Amino acid sequence: MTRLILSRLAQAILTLLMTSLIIFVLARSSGSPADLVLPSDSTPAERVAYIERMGLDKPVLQQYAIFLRDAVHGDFGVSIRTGAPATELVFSRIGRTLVLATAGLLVAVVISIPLGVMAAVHRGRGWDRFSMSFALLGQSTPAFWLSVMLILVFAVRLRWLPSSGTGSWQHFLLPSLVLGWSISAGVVRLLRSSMLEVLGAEFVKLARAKGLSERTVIWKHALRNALIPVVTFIGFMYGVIIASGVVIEVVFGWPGLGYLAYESTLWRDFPVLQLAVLVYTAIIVGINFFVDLAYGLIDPRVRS
Amino acid sequence: MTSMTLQAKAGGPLRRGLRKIFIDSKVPLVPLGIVVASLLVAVFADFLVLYDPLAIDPGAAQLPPVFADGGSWAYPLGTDRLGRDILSRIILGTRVSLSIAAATILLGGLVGTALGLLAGYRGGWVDALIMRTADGFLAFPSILLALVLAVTVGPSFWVVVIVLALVLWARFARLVRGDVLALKGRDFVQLARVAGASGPRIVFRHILPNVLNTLMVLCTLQVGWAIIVEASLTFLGAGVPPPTPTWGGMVSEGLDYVESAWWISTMPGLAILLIVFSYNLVGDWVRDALDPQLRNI
Repeated sequence: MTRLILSRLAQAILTLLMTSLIIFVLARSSGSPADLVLPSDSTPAERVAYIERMGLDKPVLQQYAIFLRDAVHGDFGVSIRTGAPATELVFSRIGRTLVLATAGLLVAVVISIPLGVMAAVHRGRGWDRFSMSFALLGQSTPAFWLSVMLILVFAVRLRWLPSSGTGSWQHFLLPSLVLGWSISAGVVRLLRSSMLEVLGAEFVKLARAKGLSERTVIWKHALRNALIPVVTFIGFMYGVIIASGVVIEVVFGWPGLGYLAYESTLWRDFPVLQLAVLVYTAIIVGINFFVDLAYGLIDPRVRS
Repeated sequence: MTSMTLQAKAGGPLRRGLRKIFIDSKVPLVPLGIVVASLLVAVFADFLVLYDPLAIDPGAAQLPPVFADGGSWAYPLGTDRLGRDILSRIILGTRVSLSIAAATILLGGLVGTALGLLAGYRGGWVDALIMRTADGFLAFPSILLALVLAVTVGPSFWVVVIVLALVLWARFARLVRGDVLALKGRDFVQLARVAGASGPRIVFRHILPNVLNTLMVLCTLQVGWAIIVEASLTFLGAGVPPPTPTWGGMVSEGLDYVESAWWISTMPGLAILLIVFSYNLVGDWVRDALDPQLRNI
């Protein structure tokens, strides 16, 4: 188990380093990073000071070392737009992004479990086809467009729900629905095949032979066992949903990390954008790390 | 020699695969028809457009589609705020979306397959290095990378292709490696090795043909993914820049007018939905026909 933890931890750090390296290289590919990081009205003296501090006149490897040193000390520069430290802006947004992603994940679970179970129980018949098509349709619908359509119908025309922002439970409805539906296909598919496998198992036959009602057999005995592989998958989906939430946050004006990253793109606010990307990667890598560990605990075969 | 006979007796994995897809399973005619039609539209877009998709005509701005009040057959899907014909822009957008999907899958598929073959066949630290890197790229939020690229090098067709391929190669590498590991222990590979076949010969002559089925499934299933991510990037302004007509860009252009001219954003989105749904249905069919074991791709 310790070996698993260490190897996964090394992996997580490696991914973060890779991300930082990519951003570092990109910032230098467009000329001088000074152009990206300093406001356009900065004086030549400020420019010289920045170039000196970041070692932009030194070899590239040394520059990367300086970049990493600052990162470890939590120094990611100041926002070009507001002048506030990038860390302050970024960290204040993380909570809202996580809350929305969690709501989306809950929707996905609520949609997928009944659909996956029904598809397996009624294999090859109407319910199966309906469940699989419904899930596949969610996977095939561009989330940003669906969001626009839902806003058009429920906010603009019917005026039932707010079109953007945050604050009440109504604000959660549309964005979490879009997020949840868009990732449900994989969960439904996996649960269906897992259920099919379990339904043929001996202990299910035994439960039936004991005279338990079909409902108890399916929803209690079979589902509980079929969910094991699904739980891990849902864990990984959390990372996916956080990443795909960027577009949703933009459409719904949800003031999270994704919206901040988008705004930073518009303003060319590179210090904030760079930190937002690093934080996103760290969150996703962190989630995958814990899911991996949880998987190792559930299934001892993974540990070797 | 022995391995050759075994190989021949199997009838060629690709041939068998195609037989399984088209003869032994039910062909989904409608989605397959849409997929073929979309390819034709992409190739012959220049001849199919009704108007110049870039031509601005202030006199024809924001005309509704034919089935709405005030619409006419002159502009079947209506016009946008600059009076450009939406149908013509969707037609040209098909070419952009499918070209990006094709370029991405070609690039990501080639690199991923090569590295997957290498990792699976060589094993050891080569395998560890390639697969850990692949895991890293799978966790990488591609949309955010595209935003960084949009700010640093500027958005473009190739930026989108590279961002998508960065994620895609890892998916290919992972699946191909898994297949290679399973195939390595099979008799015909072992026999080839005993017969003295060289490493590259075993990989290309004996292993690669048996991986083709998996590759075919993955390629078809990734088209829809590529189209949706590309459209999302373009919607955010980090994809193919205007004036090139793109589906994602059209949805975004219609946003501010969604109240008065709903069709500007609606129509291109429906096009994405129709095409991606069809590609996904076709992908599912290919997967189920070839190998139900691949269900979790």
